[in-house]
Amino acid sequence: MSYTRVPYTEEQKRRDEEHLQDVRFLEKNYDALMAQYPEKWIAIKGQRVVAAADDDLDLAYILRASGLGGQVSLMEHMTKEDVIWILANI
Amino acid sequence: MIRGYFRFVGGRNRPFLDCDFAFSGVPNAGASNVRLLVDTGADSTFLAPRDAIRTGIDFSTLDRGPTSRGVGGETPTLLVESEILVQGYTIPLTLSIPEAQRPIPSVLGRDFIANFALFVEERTGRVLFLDETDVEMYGLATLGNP
Repeated sequence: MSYTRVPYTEEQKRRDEEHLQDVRFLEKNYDALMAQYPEKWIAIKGQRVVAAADDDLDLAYILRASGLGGQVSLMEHMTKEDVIWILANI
Repeated sequence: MIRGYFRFVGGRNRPFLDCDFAFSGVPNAGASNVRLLVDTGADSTFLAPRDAIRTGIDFSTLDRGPTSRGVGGETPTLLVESEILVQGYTIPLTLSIPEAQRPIPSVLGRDFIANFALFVEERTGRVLFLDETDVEMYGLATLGNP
């Protein structure tokens, strides 16, 4: 199994840049979003919150039902809980 | 070269790569910019259930995969054939979807990473996947050899 090179289209570059803008939006507004959506899962697209829910699966089903599932840029848990990730699956 | 990034949110700095997914055999399912945690300790790439759900995958149509074992214990998995598209590269992968009870991130494992030389430097925020041409260009082909 290996990669294949394909054109990195202008459309894909535009989408990737928009996504990175959403990443930066989250970082820049993290504290405000934390205050507005404490302990909620939120979905971000176009530098705004497009949906929120109490858990990640509920949010995913909301996005899927609204037709935004494949387009949403970020899903983030706005929690103050400090969780260390040690994930390696074998 | 594929460029990932470090993201600092909630007090932790972590390496990510964002990819588009298409799923052969799953019509009308797919997603752009799925955020994957770069994890050299993971044998395989897996999609968090929330990402699998939002992309439109119907779990009832998927085959069962091997059990996934991590620090938190063992989890049954489902399998889905996919094609990852990222920054001008496509890679076919069999993705695992763990039936996890707790929220987990989607993970980019060594079945993807093995196609590249991975350069990670948290100090400068760089997460780079170098292909064979990059390795030659930057004189890395023999770096670290005895």
